[in-house]
Amino acid sequence: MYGGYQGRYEPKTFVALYDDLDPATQALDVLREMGIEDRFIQVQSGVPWRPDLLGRPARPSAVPKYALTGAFLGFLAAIALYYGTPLLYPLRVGGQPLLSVPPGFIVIFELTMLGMLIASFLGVFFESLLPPVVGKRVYHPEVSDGAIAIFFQVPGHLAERVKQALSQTGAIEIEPAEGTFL
Amino acid sequence: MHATNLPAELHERVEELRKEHLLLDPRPREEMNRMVLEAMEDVNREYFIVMALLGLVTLVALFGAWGYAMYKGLGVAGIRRPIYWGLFIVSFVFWIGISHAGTFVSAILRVFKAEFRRPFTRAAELMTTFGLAGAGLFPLIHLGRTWRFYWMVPYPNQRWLWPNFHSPLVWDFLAINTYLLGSTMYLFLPLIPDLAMARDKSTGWRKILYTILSLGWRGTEEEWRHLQKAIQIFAWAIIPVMFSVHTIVSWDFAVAMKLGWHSTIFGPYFVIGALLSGISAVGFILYMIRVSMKNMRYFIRPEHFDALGKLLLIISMGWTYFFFNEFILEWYGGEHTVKEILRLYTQGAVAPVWWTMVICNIVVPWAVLWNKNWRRKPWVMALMGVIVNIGMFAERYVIVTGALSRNRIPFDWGWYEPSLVEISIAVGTFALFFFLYGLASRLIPLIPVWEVEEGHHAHELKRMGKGVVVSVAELE
Repeated sequence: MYGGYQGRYEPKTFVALYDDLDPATQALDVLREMGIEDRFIQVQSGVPWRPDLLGRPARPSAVPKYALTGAFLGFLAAIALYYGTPLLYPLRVGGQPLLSVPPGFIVIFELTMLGMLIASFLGVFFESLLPPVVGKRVYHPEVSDGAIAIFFQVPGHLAERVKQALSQTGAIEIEPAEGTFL
Repeated sequence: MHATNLPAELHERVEELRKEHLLLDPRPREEMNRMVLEAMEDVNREYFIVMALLGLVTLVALFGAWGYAMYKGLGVAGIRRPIYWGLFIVSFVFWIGISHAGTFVSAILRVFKAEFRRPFTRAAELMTTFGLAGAGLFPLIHLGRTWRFYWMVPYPNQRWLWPNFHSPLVWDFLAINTYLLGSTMYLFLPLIPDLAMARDKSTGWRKILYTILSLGWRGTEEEWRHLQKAIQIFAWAIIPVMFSVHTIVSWDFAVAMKLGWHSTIFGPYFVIGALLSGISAVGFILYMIRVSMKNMRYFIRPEHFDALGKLLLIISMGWTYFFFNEFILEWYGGEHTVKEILRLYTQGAVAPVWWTMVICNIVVPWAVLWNKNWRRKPWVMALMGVIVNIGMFAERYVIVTGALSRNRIPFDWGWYEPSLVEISIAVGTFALFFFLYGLASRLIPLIPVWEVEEGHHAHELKRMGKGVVVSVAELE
């Protein structure tokens, strides 16, 4: 969209604030109609809004994959601990088996669940890139007060036109924003 | 639905519904944020006095007595042959039970999308974390030589001998740690957006603290998507973990070839007992929050106590069912020593404790909680929290010490009296729990504001025929 643009074509970032879902979704429609692709728009809100309610592309979260990976690693750890460690120093007591199956389910269950929970927890942060390591990212503190903030990037020469169109949708405020969308 | 669109005769009904239901009585997010932060920042003289007292009791009664027991040895406790498990293990089981409140209220109600849960999930989740913190101390105290606790950690000694994974004590270690870590993460995840809110609204040291804890949360679509998915996974996954923890605690007893303990229904019996004590404790905690913190009467209303009261009644009935099952089959078996144990419970020296359990866990809840007016009174539910927990403490006391005092050979019978050190440590843990809870109440938003706002968006009043009804949209 912006490749090769310089000067007045240089992309600028703005934020439009809305106090309700309906005008916010209307604003998103306006932005799309003006040729701004979804990847140059970011919505921030104080409550989670489903993508279909916002009219935004729905992408599945990768957190379940982390959960499954964690569960698998936990399972392997449990197998190693329960069935592996008695072989390192075999102690046979009262003719009982060294490796019994039923109690193993308990250790396997606990460690599998632990692996799944830890991995899901970490997955949220890896996938959301939290905490931010470098650079300033766009944010508006009004989001905490319930506002829906729509951040968008437009080529400089279109900025005024877009702002004017958005002001018709009932934006509380439209102002320049600094930072990346990451 | 706006009251102005309604015929005049329905206005009164609408006002009634709004007064009754938090989720039909929306306030601007900014105002709710302010109310929650005001409650957190309200650190007055009375608060300091109460916290200082709780801190002092924790220091002296818990850590002082524990230090004394470590210095002198476990001989200072009342445990003697054949009763090797006493008040330490009773307290351990009790606090594990309390810890079930958070998961049950938060996770199960979240899975079933029970809307009334919204304002108090966090208050309940905190109980889980601090209940487990209290419970986790007792195996260490009970060890006597606490400094050897790391022998339970799964790592080998110099001869490559690992802990014995066939041992219920190692299962306990794994289950409690899984539950503690899981429930702490489950507490933290939905807290992040509220910490970000606190970050945006605070100044000074609080701003620094919340900036660190909120981890740069901004509320983007990506962040919400991943967070909600993780909360969903946690809500489903933590439920079987919760069941496993108290089941494994029950197996500490049930796997022993000990009459009075060796029972196949000990797992579910313990789990339902844990839910009974945990849910009733939530009622008590909500009452304390409502009366001691600013603005909490808006968030925590009689409707919430009513809902908890219904849950408590059902769970009390469930507990009674398991209790009766356990009792009748043992009694019917007619085994000589078991009969002696049951005689000890119902007519012997343990009878006052056993009957306290029956009265507090069955008679009182059934007599009180059928009545909607009583369920809606916060102080009644707080009182129920105290009474039921006395009953549940009594239940654990009977199971742990009563059964151990009667064995197959009368030569091996005994009697247990808790020592001052044990009583002091048990009391000290209550002080620790309330101290930690009091501290957390002023450091983190106890009300999940974003969840309440989401509930406000989901609920509306709808005209139907001649009346108005509540309509709930599925936003989650």
